[in-house]
Amino acid sequence: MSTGPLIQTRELSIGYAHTHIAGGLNLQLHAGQFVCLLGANGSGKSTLLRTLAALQPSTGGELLLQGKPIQKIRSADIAKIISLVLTDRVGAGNLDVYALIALGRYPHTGWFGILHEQDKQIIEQAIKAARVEGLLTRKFDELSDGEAQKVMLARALAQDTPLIMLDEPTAHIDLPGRIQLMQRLHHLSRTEGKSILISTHELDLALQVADQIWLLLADGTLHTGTPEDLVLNGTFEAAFNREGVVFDRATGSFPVYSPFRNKAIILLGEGAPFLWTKKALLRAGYGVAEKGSKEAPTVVVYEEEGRIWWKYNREGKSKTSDTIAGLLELVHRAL
Amino acid sequence: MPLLPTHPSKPRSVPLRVLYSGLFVLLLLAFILDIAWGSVSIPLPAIGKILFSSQGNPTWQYIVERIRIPKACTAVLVGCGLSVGGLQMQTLFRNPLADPSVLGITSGASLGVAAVMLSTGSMGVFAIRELGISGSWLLIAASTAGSALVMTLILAISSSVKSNVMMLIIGVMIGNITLSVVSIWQYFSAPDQVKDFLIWTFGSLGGVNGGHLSILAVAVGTGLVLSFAGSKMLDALLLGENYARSMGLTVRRARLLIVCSTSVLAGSITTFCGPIGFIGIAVPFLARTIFHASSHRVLTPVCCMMGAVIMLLCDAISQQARSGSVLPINVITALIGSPVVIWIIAGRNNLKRMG
Repeated sequence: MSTGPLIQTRELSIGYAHTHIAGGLNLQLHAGQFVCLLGANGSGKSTLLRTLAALQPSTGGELLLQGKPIQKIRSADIAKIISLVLTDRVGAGNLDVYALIALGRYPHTGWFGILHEQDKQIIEQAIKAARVEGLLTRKFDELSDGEAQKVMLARALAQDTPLIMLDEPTAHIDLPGRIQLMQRLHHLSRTEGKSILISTHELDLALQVADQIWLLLADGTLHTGTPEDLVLNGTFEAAFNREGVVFDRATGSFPVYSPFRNKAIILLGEGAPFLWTKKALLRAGYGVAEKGSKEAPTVVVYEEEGRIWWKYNREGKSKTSDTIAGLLELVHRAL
Repeated sequence: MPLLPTHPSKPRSVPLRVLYSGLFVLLLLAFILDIAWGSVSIPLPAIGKILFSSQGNPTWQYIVERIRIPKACTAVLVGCGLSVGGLQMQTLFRNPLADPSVLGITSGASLGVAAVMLSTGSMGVFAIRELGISGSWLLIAASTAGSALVMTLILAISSSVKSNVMMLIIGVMIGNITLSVVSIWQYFSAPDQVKDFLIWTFGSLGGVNGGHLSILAVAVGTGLVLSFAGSKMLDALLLGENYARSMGLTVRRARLLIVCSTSVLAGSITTFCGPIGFIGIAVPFLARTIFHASSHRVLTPVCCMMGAVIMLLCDAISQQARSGSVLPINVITALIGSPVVIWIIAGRNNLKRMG
């Protein structure tokens, strides 16, 4: 195998016959890299993935797979380099989970698709890596969304390709399931040297696991870089800041609240009680500062012998509360 | 030595060899039953004698050798061909209600037959009945031309259409167009000509003899070989076109092969036996459900044998009419097939599966 990038594009444009989606894409994906493709709904994430996977033709530019133009590679050989987990519904033909995973061996088997000992071993490994041992005798269409996603990952692993592409793999899965899936993918890229390319909306998860982020904007431009660089150089802020939506560089998240009450409160305290009090005040619509004029109302958080309580000072008078709910009531009444 | 997997590698409980031999025994029994059980009663020992030593009552010998054996062979061919054609259509279109007629080939054959039966009167050249309806080469040529016309159209479209769903819709539409042309023709024809045509649409396994039988056997054999050769492609298509393509399948080429083999199967069978329904829907469904199989390498032979058994039984039943005459085969297959179709629609998992 060549040591150059697994996928490389030069001035690639994507889209359909009468719809241009994005152009001038210069991308590189190296072996063992975990890449997250981020972008709003309708920005063309799926189209880009489908183009890179040769499911649809590009509308211009060059797409090289292991250094070779993709048009010159037979589809049977592409299938030995790229495996896919798509959002397509799979639901016909009475397939049980084992048979479905075994279909991953398709590009490696002969004319009749007979599985040899080596194929069976690879299937076993894929089953273990995706943790679907308990599902093998079930029918695929009886699985939950999370289970189905794991099975489709196992099928992609059975295809045994250096690159796995997943289109929105975390959609329809509950939070623990999403984190497990991301952990598993991250583990695969670190231990097996697999390249992983996923498209996702989950910015916070992407920031944690991605080696590289491809950020596709609605205007068809694409920004690439390590997640930390994109945070620090302001690319995320520029990309996501819309009316009322602000990217918080300090936490790497999007706060939902805005200080609609237009009143500032000085908050003093430490640790988790401080953070959660701040959260509550922000949600209630107050601005929160850690220092300010003496006249401004002040909340002090105390933590003593496992007991947490709050003192609220305003214009020389002070009141205390044992709960955040009580504190919020005090603040509302006073202001 | 590495530890072997502890789970069963496949959930099927019956080993394949047992499954195949069981079905084969059933097939033999059904074949013998179909030969033995007819409107003229011939005792079983006499049939054995005719089969193995070609001796005995000459009338019986004629009935068995010239009527019943060719008919049973036709039943086997029809059962195999329609079941496997249905299996392929259901996988290609990922729809448990698809059958070989969804491509419009069956209606193409009807068009050919209608053209001969309904227009001869107005041309005034000869009465079709004098030729003998079932044996007429003219009819066979016309219905072959009809189904070949539709098949060429379908194949031409198939290579330019992107998705299999579009292919399904186009196939059904072509079928509709063809059938309405037939209806117009019927509307303007004389009643006794329409009656002849109606009798053809009831379907018949009889009258496929000698040369006809060998042509049918060659056509069905070709279709079955093509279909079995494509069983790996069909497996990949179970996951849908995108996954199939991502595994290296050229979807258009696969579709061409599948449409081609189904056309040969359905076209030749409809030409010789008329439009026979329900087998193509019911047998693949039964095969999948009863044998918990999804691989087409297993399903294709299973469908063949099950289809042949059911067709032989239907034929045996159709000969039991009181009056000594024979009930049309389509009536029997529909009678057995319709409850199965209802079962497909109302079955517990299939509403979800089709939605």
